[in-house]
Amino acid sequence: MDVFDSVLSYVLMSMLLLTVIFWLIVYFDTFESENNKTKIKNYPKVAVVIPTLFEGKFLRNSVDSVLNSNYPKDKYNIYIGLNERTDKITRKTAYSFKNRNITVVDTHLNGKSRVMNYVIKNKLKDEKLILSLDADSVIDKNLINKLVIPFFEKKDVGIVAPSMLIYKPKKPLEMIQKYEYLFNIALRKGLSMLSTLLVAPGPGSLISRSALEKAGYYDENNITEDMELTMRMLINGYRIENRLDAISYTLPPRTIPTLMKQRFRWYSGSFFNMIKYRKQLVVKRDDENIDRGTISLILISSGLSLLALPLLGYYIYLYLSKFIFQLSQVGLKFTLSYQSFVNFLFSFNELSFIGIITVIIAIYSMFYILKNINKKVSVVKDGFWSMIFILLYGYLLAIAWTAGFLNSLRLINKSNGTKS
Amino acid sequence: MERRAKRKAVNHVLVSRKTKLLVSILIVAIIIGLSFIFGYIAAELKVSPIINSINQDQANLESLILTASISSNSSFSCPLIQAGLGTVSQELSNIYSELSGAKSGYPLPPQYANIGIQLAYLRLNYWILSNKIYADCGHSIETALMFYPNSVCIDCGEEGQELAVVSQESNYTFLPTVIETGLNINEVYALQKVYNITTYPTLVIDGKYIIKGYLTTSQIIKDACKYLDNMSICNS
Repeated sequence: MDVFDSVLSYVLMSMLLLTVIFWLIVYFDTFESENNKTKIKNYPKVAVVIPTLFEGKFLRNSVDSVLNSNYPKDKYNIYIGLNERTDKITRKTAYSFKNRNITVVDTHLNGKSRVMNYVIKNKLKDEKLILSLDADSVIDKNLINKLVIPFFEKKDVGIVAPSMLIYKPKKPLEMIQKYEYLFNIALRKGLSMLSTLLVAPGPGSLISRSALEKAGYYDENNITEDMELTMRMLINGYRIENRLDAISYTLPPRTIPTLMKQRFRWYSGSFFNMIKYRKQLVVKRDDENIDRGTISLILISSGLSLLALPLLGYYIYLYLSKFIFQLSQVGLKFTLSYQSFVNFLFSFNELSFIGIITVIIAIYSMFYILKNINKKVSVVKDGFWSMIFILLYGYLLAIAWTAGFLNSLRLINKSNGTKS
Repeated sequence: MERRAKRKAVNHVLVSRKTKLLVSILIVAIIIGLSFIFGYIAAELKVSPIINSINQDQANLESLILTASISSNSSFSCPLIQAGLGTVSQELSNIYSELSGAKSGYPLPPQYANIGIQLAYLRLNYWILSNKIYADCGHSIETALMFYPNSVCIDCGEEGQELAVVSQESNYTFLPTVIETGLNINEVYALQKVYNITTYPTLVIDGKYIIKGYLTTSQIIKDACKYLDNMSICNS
């Protein structure tokens, strides 16, 4: 190895090790810190707003999960918002509920944000908190009880995000997404502890109604309105909190094209919003609800991550073309010969040791997260699917990530064109 | 007062965050420090098996030199010595694989400089013997000497492998040796001057024919067969 290669290898490996260790320390704090001692005497009223589109009969599961929750029955109302494009089955399901605290609102509007804003501005009663719930999502029976706690523990809480999981995963693609969501739960909690949580997911987030009004409601022209609202809340001085034990479940995409389409929208929105609010997020502020240093690192690493896919493609091409050429010259037998084995064995050096330690800590971190969120770990099953997620799934998402960035530039151009 | 309390809470969080980062950096520094120590110890442990292999190979070569000096041009001894040279050639390749793998670490114990020189002398002796057999046994074998630098030369690594493959396929009638330059060995300097070695890799076939630059396996066979057409791979 020449000097440059060596130095680069040591630097990259050290940075990877630092990241893994730092996050493990954050996770130690994360899972110990959740306060379960706060007792609430007067539960605030909650408006559960469920915008619809093509969810069909699954809407019943969503509504039933709210009706089955442990939250006091007289302390919440459900508002089902019908989009102008909502299909017949969903409409029929919406109107089939006979409960007095369920209101169906036919908004005649298109767009989730428009529907939500219409319901919130025109139909809510005296509810102080709003639970945003997608019609293809269900909530755990204790979700609302858990989500209200931060509103009593801290001041200026704008949104409390739940832990989102996949609803009854069965197929391989759903299983991989299950692990993606599990690790995202830990990441979300860690980020909220570092005051850098930039997205409170739509399904199951509890929002302060007054904070929402002050922030200006949902942006009706944004494709990821939940992320945009979260960032706007932060900029307006509100805290974004997260509860690990407040669980919501969502239906995942079941095929690769639908998955890629979903992620393309998410990542387009993420980049769009990060670029839109980049200055406000890193500017010095009095409330310190945003950790500027970490936000800056997130913005920089998001930018650098765009290099990951082309670099990866380049190195795969380089390695494969060399390997194929070598194979064509010396054959498989020689390539896998004793000499190759000996070279590999004798190559074990300090970099290998750092790599092994990093992998061990990363695997420990992975199982620590799974144990704390899932409460039980199957070494074989969880290990297998986690490895598939880490080794294969990331490359798929990287394509959507890169495409999302390019689309976000188009959206920004379009948005600047509209303004002028 | 409320503002002060808020500032205090924020400072506590920031300190706690900075503490986490500092602790992480400290742990990483300790792990890296230990890794270098471990790497150095591992490199030292690798020295002994490599030296043993070199000594073993040296003994085998001396035995072949002795046999060659007693009777190198008989129809009985030529195949025997050729077979022996083939075995030594494989062993030299193994030693090279061990050494190049072992040298991937940093820092290296000082013994590695001497190992490199020992191996170079072993290879030179091998090449000299194979040239003698080439001359004494009626050109029934062919020798090749490849020069490579002691800096990074990816082509040289591949070329070495390809030479080893050609040697195997020729049933060890094609006997390559690789020589590392820049090791402060007078004999190597002399050879570089004799053959005017300026680029790497450079191949010298039968001590006479110089081919500069990287050659694929088929190109090596083609060029070798130009000069010696009774190798088995030339007829296939």
